[in-house]
Amino acid sequence: MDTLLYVLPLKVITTQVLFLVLAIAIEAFIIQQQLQYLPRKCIEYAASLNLLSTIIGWLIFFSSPFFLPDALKFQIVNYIAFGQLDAAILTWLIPLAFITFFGTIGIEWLGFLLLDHFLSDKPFFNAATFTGRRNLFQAVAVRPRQSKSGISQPDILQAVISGNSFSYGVILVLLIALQFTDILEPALLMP
Amino acid sequence: MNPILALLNDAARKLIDIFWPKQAFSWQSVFWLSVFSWGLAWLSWNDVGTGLLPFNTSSSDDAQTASDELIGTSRVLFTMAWVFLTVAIGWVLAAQKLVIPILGIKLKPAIWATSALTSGFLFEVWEPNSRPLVFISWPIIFAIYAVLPKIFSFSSGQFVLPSPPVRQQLVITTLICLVVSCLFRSNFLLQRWIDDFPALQVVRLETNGIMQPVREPRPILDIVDKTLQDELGVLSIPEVRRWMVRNRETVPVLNAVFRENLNAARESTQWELEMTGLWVSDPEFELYLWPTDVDTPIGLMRICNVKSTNQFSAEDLELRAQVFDDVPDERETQSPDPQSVDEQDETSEVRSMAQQLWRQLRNILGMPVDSQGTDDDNRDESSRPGIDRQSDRASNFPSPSESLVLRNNPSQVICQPPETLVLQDSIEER
Repeated sequence: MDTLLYVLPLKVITTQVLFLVLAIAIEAFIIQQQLQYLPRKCIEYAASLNLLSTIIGWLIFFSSPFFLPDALKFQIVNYIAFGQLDAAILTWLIPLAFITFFGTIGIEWLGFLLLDHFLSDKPFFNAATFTGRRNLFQAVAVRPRQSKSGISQPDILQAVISGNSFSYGVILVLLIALQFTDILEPALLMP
Repeated sequence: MNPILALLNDAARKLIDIFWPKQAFSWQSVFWLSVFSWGLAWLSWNDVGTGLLPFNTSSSDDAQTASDELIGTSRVLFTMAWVFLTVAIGWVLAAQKLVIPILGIKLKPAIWATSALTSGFLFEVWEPNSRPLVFISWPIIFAIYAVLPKIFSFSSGQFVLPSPPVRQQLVITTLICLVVSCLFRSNFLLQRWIDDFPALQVVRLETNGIMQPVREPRPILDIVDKTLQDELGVLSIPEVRRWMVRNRETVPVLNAVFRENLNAARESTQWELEMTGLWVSDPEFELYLWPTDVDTPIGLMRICNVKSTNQFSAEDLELRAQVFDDVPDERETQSPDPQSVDEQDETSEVRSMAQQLWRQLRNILGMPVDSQGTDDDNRDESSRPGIDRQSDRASNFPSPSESLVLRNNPSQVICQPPETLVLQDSIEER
């Protein structure tokens, strides 16, 4: 078809990179403060966790056309095309924000435990790890309590929760600021 | 010797030097193997005349027939050629490393090139219609190529466990690759939405949206304007009123003209116009228009402001004379186009309403209020304002506003300028 309209979602990419960098920096700082890891390790952990939650978020977004109602899909298309939020979407936005926040915390907590395991001397796919344990989750969930550094699970959960709270807060402030100014405008690309 | 010939000779010598294998086990020999098997594939492939690549045809039907023709031996040969080419390019680039200056990140172009060739071969060559898959799978294949040498020792044929820092690096590399893949996929998803909802191809996307359009929007709305102007702009205001009252008959006629215009502009004729009058005043009137693609749930809403170029028709003059003479009943029987009973009823209804309005006006303001009406008779054709406006028809649409609507639910209108909202409220009050 000749008359197809091509679009460039450059704003998606720039926003994604900006938010990832921000969240990684903030969470690395919080993890360093609370768990006293080495700075390099903190950055690596924060990067892995945020990338993981981003991927899972994208996967949920890609599967959303299959279960979203028509009206909400319309709102999303309208937001994507015109950058405008209708009042009707706010009723969806608030529970969605809650689900996103707590879902991210859950994913990052699990990811933290998995990563800790994976980087330990005996990662979980080593056969010796599974002796005496029934499944993978048990192997993952039990192990940090026995870690040499003495960090227990609640500490990790607390670090993840506070790190996410700070990064989400900063991103929210940034989003509100972006509503008023258009910093991320790729003006050069306009025809 | 001729200097140009000497230059060519020199270049050819250098080229041969590059591509001539110095040892048996070198990338040049793999490259020539690739060329050799590609040549054999080309010879064994039936339809030699269509091009160099067997699948690189423009339409999908051609690609289908081409892939049907490419069977057995030539398919294997072509695959071999591609694999050898990938290996050769990987071999050439293997030693090179790109270092980004400030960040100190090392990139290996070999992995990028080989993964691109692999995904291109897997999805583009076998299936020409799956170009999105090429891009989506590229970072994933890159991740596999980057991780595999670290965790698998090819010499011993066993999996090995790298040290924890290397493991951490591998985790981050894989995750970044997956994010890049997701970004590619989001691009294609948005593109598919644009294709699914033709209304999005028509409106001028706002600059503060996520997507930046690369091409001009499709000219559907211009065709709507043109159709409306041609059909309604030439009518006088009373005729417009009558036209709107009989919209069940007139809108299909408008739609037929609209489709003709679409056809003339080589656009899809899937579009359908729905219409509601917003207000009609003397020289101009405003309309709600819903051009929607028949198959999709999202359509457009546009408010058009049309100025009538024909302000005083014969009927109009007649009506005026009637009102000012204040003898309604005599003229009632001489209706200008006595085609159907309904129409007559409607005309008489409009007339009686107009007369009532005039009477009220005259009661309020006194008798000689209307300058338009009183010097109506001594006006000639050339002094009419409508005639002057006919020259610049483009200016007959002062800033029409458009927005997206859910089909069958026009109340859900997004992206409206504020004045439109006010107008919508007022129409709901009526």
